[in-house]
Amino acid sequence: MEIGIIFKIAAVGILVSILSQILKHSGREEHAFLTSLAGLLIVLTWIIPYIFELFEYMKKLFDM
Amino acid sequence: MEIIKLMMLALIVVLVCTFLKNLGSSFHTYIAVTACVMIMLFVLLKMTSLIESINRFSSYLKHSDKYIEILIKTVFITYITSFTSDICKDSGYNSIADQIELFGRVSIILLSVPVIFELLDMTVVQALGAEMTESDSYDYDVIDKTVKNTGIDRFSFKTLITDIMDGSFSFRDYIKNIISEQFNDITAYRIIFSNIVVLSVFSGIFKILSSSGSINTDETSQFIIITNLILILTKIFYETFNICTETLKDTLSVYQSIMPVFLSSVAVITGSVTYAAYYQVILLGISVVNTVFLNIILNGIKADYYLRMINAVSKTDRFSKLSDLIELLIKWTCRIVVVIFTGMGCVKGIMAPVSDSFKRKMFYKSAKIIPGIGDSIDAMSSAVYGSGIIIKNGIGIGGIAVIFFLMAAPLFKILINYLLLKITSAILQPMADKAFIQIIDKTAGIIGLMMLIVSITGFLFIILTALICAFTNNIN
Repeated sequence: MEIGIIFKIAAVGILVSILSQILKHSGREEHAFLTSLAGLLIVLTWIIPYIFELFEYMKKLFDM
Repeated sequence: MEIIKLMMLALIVVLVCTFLKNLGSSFHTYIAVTACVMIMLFVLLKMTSLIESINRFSSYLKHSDKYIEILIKTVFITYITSFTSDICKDSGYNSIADQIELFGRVSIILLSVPVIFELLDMTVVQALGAEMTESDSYDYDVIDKTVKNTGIDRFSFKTLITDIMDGSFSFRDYIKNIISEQFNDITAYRIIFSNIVVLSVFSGIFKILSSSGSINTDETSQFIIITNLILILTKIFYETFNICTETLKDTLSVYQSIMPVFLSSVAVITGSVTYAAYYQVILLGISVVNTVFLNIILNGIKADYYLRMINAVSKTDRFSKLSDLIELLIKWTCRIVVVIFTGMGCVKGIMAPVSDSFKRKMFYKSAKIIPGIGDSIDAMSSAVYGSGIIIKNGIGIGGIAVIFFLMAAPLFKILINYLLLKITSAILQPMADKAFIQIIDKTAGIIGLMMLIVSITGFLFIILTALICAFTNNIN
């Protein structure tokens, strides 16, 4: 619930895009793909519990 | 200050997202989703206390807490659907967003289906119930039962008559009795009043709560709340309607049983022509009340009520002119009936006794000239006529009193229902929805119509009896 998570995602995003561009320019397309996949996985492990938390909270609140 | 934090959060997220977009990274979607979750969680945290207080208030609503549950679920579906579908739209997947919205709409309709069926159940069951409670053949017990149903215990028709006869009947005690019995169940009125107030507050709250993004369930929640209101009002309406029907039927049967006695006492002192004339008028009055009031006007009132309620539920004004017309016709019929019967009673009262008294005068004159017994016949017959007039007036006033007492309690009950709705609408007007006030007002108007019909029936019979008494007093 901290604003930090947004900056973390942004940092990962910037890092991944820079890395993948460097890797692409040096001709390692498959590595570039793997980096962006790794970035995606990291970000998803942060976001999905968060979304889960939201839905759980809603369920509790609205007594479903 | 939390609001400023939230605004800052939104702006920062937007800036970061545009930066990432320009960079060519697809991570801006994740940031947007995270921000949405964050803001939503924040909003829900704020809403916790609101929902708790709504739940607390809905426990005050005796029969409608399950509607409030449905309403809260509607809000939940609205929020979660618009949350998901907006994220889908942001990512450019409009088709998925549309499907999700469709699902949200369908589930809201599924939620409100029980409400619709409850409304149907209630009206149909009540309507059938109202038609099934036809009173049997005339019986004092029926009156006692009806009067008991209308809230007055310890009522006995026989004791009423004997009390009136031996003079121990106290009018003030009777009225006091009626009033105290009515106000014994004041909690019932309080519950109805508080239910309506809480509902109107909820209608305002849910109007704000139930629209989010592209999903707008405002109308659904209003529909559920209005249905709830209609359920409460229908209970009052049918209670009043049953009282009205029973009162009319009982008054008719009482009058039918009093009239032959009364008219024969009239016939003793006036003559056959007057008797026949009044008999016609009274027969006509009874049949008019029976056919016009009981069959046509009461059904008209029922139709009027249904039209008003359908009109309230539907968004556009469809039937208000029709129900206005029905109400106008009912009012005019009542007026015409009163004018015709008062007029007929007067005209017959002026015409008929004259021809009778002419006949009788001939009889007197011829009896007087009989030598020897002429004078004693004259004295005897005037004594007989004097006591006849007293008996006739006694029966007439007894009939008037019986009708009055029969009507007083139901009329009072209807009046209280009417006032309850009028006061509720007056208190609610500053804060509630226009539709709300209109429904309550229209129901009050219909209950007022029923009051008019009951009082006009009573007036009709009382005035007929009084006219007959008055016009047959001075006969020589």
